[in-house]
Amino acid sequence: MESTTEIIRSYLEERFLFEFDEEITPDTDLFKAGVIDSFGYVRMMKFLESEFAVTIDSDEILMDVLVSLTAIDVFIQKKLAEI
Amino acid sequence: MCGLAGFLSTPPASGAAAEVITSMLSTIRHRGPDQAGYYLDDGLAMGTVRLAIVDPADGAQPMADPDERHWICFNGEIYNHVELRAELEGLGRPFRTDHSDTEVALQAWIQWGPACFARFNGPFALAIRDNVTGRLVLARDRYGKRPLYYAEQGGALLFASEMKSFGAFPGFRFELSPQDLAAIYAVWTPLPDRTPFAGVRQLPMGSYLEVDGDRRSLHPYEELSFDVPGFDGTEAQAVEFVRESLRTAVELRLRSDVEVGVYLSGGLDSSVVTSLATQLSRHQVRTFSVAFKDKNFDESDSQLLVAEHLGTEHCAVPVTGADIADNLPAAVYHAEMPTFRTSFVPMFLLSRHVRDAGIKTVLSGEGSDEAFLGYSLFRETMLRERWHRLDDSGRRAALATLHPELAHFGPAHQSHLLGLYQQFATERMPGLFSHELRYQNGRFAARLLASREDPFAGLLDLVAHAPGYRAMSAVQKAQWLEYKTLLPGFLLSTQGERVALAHSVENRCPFLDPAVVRAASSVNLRFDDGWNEKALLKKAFRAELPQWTTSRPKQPYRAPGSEAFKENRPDYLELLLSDAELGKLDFLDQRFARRLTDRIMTSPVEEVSTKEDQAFVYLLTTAVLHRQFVLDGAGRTSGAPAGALDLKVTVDRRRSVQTVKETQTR
Repeated sequence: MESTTEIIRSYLEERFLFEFDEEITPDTDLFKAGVIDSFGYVRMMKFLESEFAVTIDSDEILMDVLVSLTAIDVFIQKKLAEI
Repeated sequence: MCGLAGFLSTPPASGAAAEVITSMLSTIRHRGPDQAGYYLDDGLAMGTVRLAIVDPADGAQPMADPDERHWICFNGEIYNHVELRAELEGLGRPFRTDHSDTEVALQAWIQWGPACFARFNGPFALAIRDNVTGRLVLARDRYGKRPLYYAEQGGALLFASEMKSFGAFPGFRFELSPQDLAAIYAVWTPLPDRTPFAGVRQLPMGSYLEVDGDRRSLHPYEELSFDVPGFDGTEAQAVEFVRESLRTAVELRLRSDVEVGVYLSGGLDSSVVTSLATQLSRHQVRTFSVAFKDKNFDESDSQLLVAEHLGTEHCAVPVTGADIADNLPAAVYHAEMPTFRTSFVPMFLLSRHVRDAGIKTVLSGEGSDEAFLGYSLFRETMLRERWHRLDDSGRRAALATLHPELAHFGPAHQSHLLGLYQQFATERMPGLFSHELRYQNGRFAARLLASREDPFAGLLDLVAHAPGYRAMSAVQKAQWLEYKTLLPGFLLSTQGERVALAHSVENRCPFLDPAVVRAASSVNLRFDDGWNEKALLKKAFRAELPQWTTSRPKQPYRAPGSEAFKENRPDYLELLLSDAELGKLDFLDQRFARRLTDRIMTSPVEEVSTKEDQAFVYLLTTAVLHRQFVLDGAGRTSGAPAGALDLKVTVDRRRSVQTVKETQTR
């Protein structure tokens, strides 16, 4: 079974047409790198909610800045642990 | 309206100067098919192609003062030429023509020097030669509506209304500049002094270039400013003030010796212009629109409503995705620019129709959204600026009305958007706060380039050094950026005058009258919070327009994008589909360009995001531009044969040439 990291990673790479490498690392701010835009961000949230059967409410989204693979992954793992 | 071209060379131009200037002018004959002319002296060749609109009988160019010391090539319109002429005559300046605005420009220069430019109300680009001092001056209007490019080639300074003229100069070769492409992809337009081509500059709006021997000095003559005293009256008086400013602006722009039509998009701004034109014209006004089969883009109903209400003779030109695919290369040839949208192609087709209908001049509504804060960008800027001071319900309420036309701003996504806006509520790029969300799409397109240099470096530098910029409010900075980038770099040029003049049609923009811009600045956000866009403008014209026109949601003008090419598969798509062809664009990130192309070609339309669509249109138009200008050498082969020019004025003042020929036919 794929890990959450791998699922999120391949979603991002496929959706936004790039690969994680030495230039764009798991800790790169994907907005600053020109990978994600507002439409892509909203779609990504939808994807995370449906893929991992979690709900991301607005308080959480304001607390955690989901802009890098690492941040998203940590956030999802935390949500899954709560279930 | 006209086009101009020329070159200054030391040592003096060779005996071939007449042939070279004629070839350069031939490449822009579409800008002025009525007549042409050139002037030569020891070191300079310059000329114009002319679309005769004001004083067709004796406005021939190049034109001189009575002493024949100063010679001018003029492209544009000075709408207040009547008033300026009276003032100049009062000062003793001699005039030879009946009412030529070109002669007013020349005499104003002689009288006032560089101070004359800020007095001109209207778009212009000009070149003036003083054949006693040898000084050459190039100048451009305050909003950068008329183009003026220059480049150095083998010791010569070339200048022209369109870059393709340079292709006709011996030895000139176009090369795309990756650094400037990065800025264009990221910002949607080049920087005010740049172009997509290496070594080719444009004169920044509101500036003039003095050339004295080998010395070149660039000076601004008017800085863009919104710092005007706030309107000191009631709202009702402000409404009347706005209305009167626009009425005068339209009246001035109806000064023409030929019939003036109107581009009617169906939105508020062009409806306002149509209404005023109808009131101020002695004949029935003719209006022209683009209509789309695809209802997602079409505004025919809104257009017809206004046309019927105001009693215009209306004509809509239907445009399909196939038309866009068929005409993109021709439109790119005229635009000379990679583009993020295809919306300029329908405007190219519209101008063809307008020309065929016998109209040379149209009014249009450009400039209103910048002056009266019409774009959602301004509201979004206000929202993000006060984000940290709003509570959850305030944020949600604002988000709900921000982009009613975008599905991902709907209620289902509000929580997600809150997270997004939270991140963009603090400035990351100094001075560019207002545009940071938009520029995310630009960052994506900039990934098309192999180079990973910051595509915003030039713009960051520009705003860091712009006089008065730091003291502006967030909304004024947003306005400033729009006036410096999207308005001149796309709306007025690619989608405006370049595709209009491709078919010899001149467009005039009442909302760019300096008095209108000042009026807007004095009333903006004084009587409303800006959330209902252009509220005061709507109030000013509510009584005379259909109720729907002043109450409808704003619909941005768009045309079918990547889907048009995917569905119609034009031949030139091969420039991207073939690895060998794509490989010729060696400044691209080949892998990203390939993946993007594959994504567009294989994904259903609804799966393609705006940023992907824009990046693809950039990629395709860059490939077409590269083919036309770099590989095929635009200007070398595409211009009309020299014999097609109707040369009315040829002045040869070269002492170095044995036989002095002067054949002035005016």
